[in-house]
Amino acid sequence: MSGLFHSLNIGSESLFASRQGVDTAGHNIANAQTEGFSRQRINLEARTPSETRGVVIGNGVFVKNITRAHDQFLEKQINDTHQEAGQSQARFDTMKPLEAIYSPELGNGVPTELDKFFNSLQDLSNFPEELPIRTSVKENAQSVISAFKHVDESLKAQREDINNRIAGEVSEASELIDQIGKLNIQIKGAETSSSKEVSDLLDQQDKILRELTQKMDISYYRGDQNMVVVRGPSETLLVDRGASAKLDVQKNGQDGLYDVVVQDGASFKPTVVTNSNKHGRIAGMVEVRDRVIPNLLDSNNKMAGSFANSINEVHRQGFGLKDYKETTGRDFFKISDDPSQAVSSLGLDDRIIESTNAISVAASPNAPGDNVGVNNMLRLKEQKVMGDSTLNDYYANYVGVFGLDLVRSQQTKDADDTLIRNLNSRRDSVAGVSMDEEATNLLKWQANFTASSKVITTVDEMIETVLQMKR
Amino acid sequence: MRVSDKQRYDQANHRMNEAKTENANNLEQLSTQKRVTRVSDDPVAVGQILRRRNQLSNIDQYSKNIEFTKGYIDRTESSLQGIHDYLIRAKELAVNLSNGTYAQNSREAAGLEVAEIVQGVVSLANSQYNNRYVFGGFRTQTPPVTGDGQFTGDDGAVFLQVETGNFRQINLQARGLFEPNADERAKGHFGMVETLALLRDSLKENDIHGIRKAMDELEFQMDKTTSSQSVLGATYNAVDETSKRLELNSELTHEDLSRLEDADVYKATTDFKKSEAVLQSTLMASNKLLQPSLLNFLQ
Repeated sequence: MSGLFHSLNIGSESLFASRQGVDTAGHNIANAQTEGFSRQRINLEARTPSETRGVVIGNGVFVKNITRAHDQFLEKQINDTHQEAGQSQARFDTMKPLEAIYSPELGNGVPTELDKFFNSLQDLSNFPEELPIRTSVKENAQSVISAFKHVDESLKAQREDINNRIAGEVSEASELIDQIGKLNIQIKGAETSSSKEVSDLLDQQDKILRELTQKMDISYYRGDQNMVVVRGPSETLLVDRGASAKLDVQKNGQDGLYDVVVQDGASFKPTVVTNSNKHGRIAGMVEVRDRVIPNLLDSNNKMAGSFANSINEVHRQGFGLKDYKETTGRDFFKISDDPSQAVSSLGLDDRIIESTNAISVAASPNAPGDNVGVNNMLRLKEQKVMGDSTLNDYYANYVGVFGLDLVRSQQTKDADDTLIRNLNSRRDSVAGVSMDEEATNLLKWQANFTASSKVITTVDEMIETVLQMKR
Repeated sequence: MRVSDKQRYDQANHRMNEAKTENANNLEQLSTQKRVTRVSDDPVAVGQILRRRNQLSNIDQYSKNIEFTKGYIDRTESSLQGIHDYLIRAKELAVNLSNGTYAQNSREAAGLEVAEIVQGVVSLANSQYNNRYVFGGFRTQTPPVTGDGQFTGDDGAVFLQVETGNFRQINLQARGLFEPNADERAKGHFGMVETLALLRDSLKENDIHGIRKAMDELEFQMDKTTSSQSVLGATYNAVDETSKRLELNSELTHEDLSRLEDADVYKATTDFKKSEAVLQSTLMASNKLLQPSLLNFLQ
């Protein structure tokens, strides 16, 4: 039956819809600066009309649902790009500090110290018998050793630092994976109870997924009841419905650095994914830790090893002064046979530490003025002791290669940043809140609200009129 | 296109950041006056810069070596000249006194002078430069010539580097100067001090035959000192040439290095001004852009 109360009802529904409209606009304005928020739209629909006395009469309005402005394909593209961008960003950020070790403005680098050492050898060539000059050769050799060690230690410290940062990223990623699983359960609950889209929860989950894609190599899709399924590297299942795996680090037996491990006692067996994880921040850091830094350490070791061994070779043939004037076969540098320990084991020979007379540069015994050995050492500076290059060229080359790598990584990062910015801008164009638009919406719903209340007061007056008919 | 508020803020933020970064980079170039301060500024140039710096430090060192070489040769040469002068004086005396007209006491007096000459020659043969005996070969810490003319030095040749790949012998291997070699001895030649001693003794003993023999032998010794002097002279000139070349080289390398690593000040200044202007206009535009919205006009 449709009577005046029916009309009253239409008015109140309309009032309610208008209020919902204002609420949505308010919600949008409130979340205008919320990261990952998609603007929401209220979708109204006319109620199914009913037939009264042969006439089809409209039954007013109802709020069908509230949806978010969301482009899932764009979202997918953004997340893929985030994966690349996360990797290039992490790679660049962890490589950048390394260049300070090699920057030419620093006066105490390896080439400078080598230069000083060779110059002190030149002085020794001028005055092979003078004690102060022998002492300066010894001091300069110590500085060369320190310079090599400084590079070695700084690189190792950076590697340790990156290692710890990887652990940090992994535990954050694990936390995110856990949250995605929990949100899955909430989304499922909300979907079944109201059969409506739960925009805010989906927004939240999308945002967490985006954070996770920045960190590591994942793929995902929305399956049953809008719940997301997330796969990680090596086909590991990270999130399935409410269940989520744990991401953890464990010390690698060889060098004590961290491996990334996916584990969850119940459903998955532990899988090491350090190297199968190809994208994201963690992959970028692992690459610098396991490839870039070891290469630099290796070059530094090679250079120090070739330098020390070639000087030793000449030195072993030489005679010293005083106590050492009639014997040969002494090393100048103490160095391990293991090439990977060259720098960490590098030191001066004990006899030279004790007395500079043990510096043996004479080709003949009892010859204090003999500088043949010094000159042979000096020739090493121009000889290709590194196989196909001199010491200085080798240094310039390996540092240059690192520099180019760094420049390339910066360019990749900048390119990815630009891409991300464009995609985000496109996303914001669809999903972002526009104050002007919301202001218009507010005006619109306010007007609607006012009109709806007019309907109610009109019906109210009508009811009054009807009631006054019988007095 | 739909433009959301977030887009506008993000864009304004991004532009401001970009302008600030550019401005900071320009400022750094201006304040350091260097184009390359980090490896990543120009990785290829870094290798070249290191090489040039190395060259410059080498050139400095070579120049020091050359100065030392010149000093060493100067000292050797002046000692040789002194020895040569003594030999000339000795020969003058020998020529005069081999003449039968002189009396025995004149010869004795001359014998005393020659004895002085012997001492003088030995002392010059033991000349030092920077506490090193210049004629001793590698035995630089002990006098190479004894009072009776024995050579106790060795045949060490002292080389110094004066240029990349170029080592120069700076000393005179003096054994041949003071001692006759086996061949010469077989031909009846003496050592230098030995010859002077022969003259001294012959004068004292009034032995004209001995004086004449010493006279001929002195001629032979003087030839030796002269040829040694010319060897030294040649080395000196060669080293001097090298040093001029090094100076030129140093200038060119300095220019090269500056071209590689120094900032172009005019360009850096204009770039800085430009980026400053960009920054200011971005700030102003952002300020204007971010204010209005419909809400500002609603009552």
